[in-house]
Amino acid sequence: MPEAVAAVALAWATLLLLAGGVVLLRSRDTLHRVLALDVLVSIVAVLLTILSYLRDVSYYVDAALALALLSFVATLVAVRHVIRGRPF
Amino acid sequence: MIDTALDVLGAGLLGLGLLLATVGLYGLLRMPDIFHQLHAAGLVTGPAVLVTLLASLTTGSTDIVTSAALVFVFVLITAPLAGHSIAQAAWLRPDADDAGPSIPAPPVVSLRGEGMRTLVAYDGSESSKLALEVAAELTGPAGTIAVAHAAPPLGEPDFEGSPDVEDAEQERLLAEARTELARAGAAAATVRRRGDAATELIAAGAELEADLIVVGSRGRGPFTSAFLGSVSSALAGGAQAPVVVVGPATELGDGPILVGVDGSDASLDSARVAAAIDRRLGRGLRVVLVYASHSAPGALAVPEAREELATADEQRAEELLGEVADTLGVPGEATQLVRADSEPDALVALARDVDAALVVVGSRGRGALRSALLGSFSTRVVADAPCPVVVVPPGARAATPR
Repeated sequence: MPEAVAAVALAWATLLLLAGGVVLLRSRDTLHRVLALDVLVSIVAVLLTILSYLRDVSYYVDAALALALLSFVATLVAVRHVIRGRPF
Repeated sequence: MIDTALDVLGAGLLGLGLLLATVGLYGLLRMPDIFHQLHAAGLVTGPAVLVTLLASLTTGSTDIVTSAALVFVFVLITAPLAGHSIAQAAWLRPDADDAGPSIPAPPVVSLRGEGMRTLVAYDGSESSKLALEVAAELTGPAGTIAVAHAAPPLGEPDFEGSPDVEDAEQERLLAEARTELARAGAAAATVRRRGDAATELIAAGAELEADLIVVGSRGRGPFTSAFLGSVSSALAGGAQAPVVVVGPATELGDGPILVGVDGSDASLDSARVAAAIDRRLGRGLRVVLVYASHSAPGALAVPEAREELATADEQRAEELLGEVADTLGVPGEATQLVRADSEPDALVALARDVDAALVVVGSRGRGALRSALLGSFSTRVVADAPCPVVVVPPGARAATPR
């Protein structure tokens, strides 16, 4: 993959991360924040994937996997908390 | 030639992924409420990530492709699940500002009046019918009863696959409950709610300032109920009033009300609740202290030493029970000392022996899962007792029936 393409994509994804931050700041209540964080983690995963293309190493993708795993569990727990008032 | 084609394809996939993410974020900022926003967010968490990962195929590095494939499968599974659970929470949560189609708030029934105020949950099951009887008995003619039914919002498929409960069905169940209560000589107000059953019952109990909350239990053990989410155990952990859990095959015995104490403040509160209930029921109170006798390692070989230890344990337990009795102001003959290894088992066995009317225990206010793992005392008593069990949550409103 040409470096220029990956570099442009990386810059684009960084801008998206900023936009995701705006979404998080504008969120009205807990569920909106949970949703915004879920989206933010997805963008970071995209960012890490592009970084791994740019540097041509695989471990950034592994980091993305760990992050996605944590985010999934965190989302479920936060959601349970919203419904029940406690995580379990 | 092939290289150029791959480069173009890779750039195209990356561009598409980022475009999807941009559109999704724009939607997230512009959409009016959480359900619409979920559509937009789904574009970012799902397709945008997946397309970006697909671009790994054009890098020509097996390491990257392998890792990316893992993430691909993971995201493919979890993105829809996470989105769905957020949507479900938005639909079910209490007092949401944008929780789906508006459900008119039920009128708040006032329970003002002399005597005990009781909230009883009814869902048509056998144990909830028993709960009605117990509620009528405990409340008496001077008290007031509200019977509640909570169902998931319409259009919300229940986890166990039960169909939607229509408004009319709720009304029918509540009318049935009123008839049953009338047969037992008690008039009742009705409370119809939508949402998570335990949450709604806790909220209704707080609104009505109920002195007691009576629920039927399906009689599952601690493990099943942790995974299936027992309403009664969730209530016992979170309610502001003592919760009477009526199991499927239990009845008010003719004997006294048993209350287990261990000297802690929480157990003293349970004893006070038991005394308050007894003022209405008049069956007599029995304060029970279960103590375990320890045998020190090494002392086992010497019978005299073992006896001495057992005597010391017993003396200590006796003193503690004496203190508790003094604090509560109950006479000595209303107390009982039991030596056993398992406190819940001992209480249950004693309840069988004396044909107890009720067993009153404190709850440490843990959720269902944690109490399954840690073996909650109250959960075990509830599962095995032959009579209804009153679980007193921590900080239950001083629970003094007027």
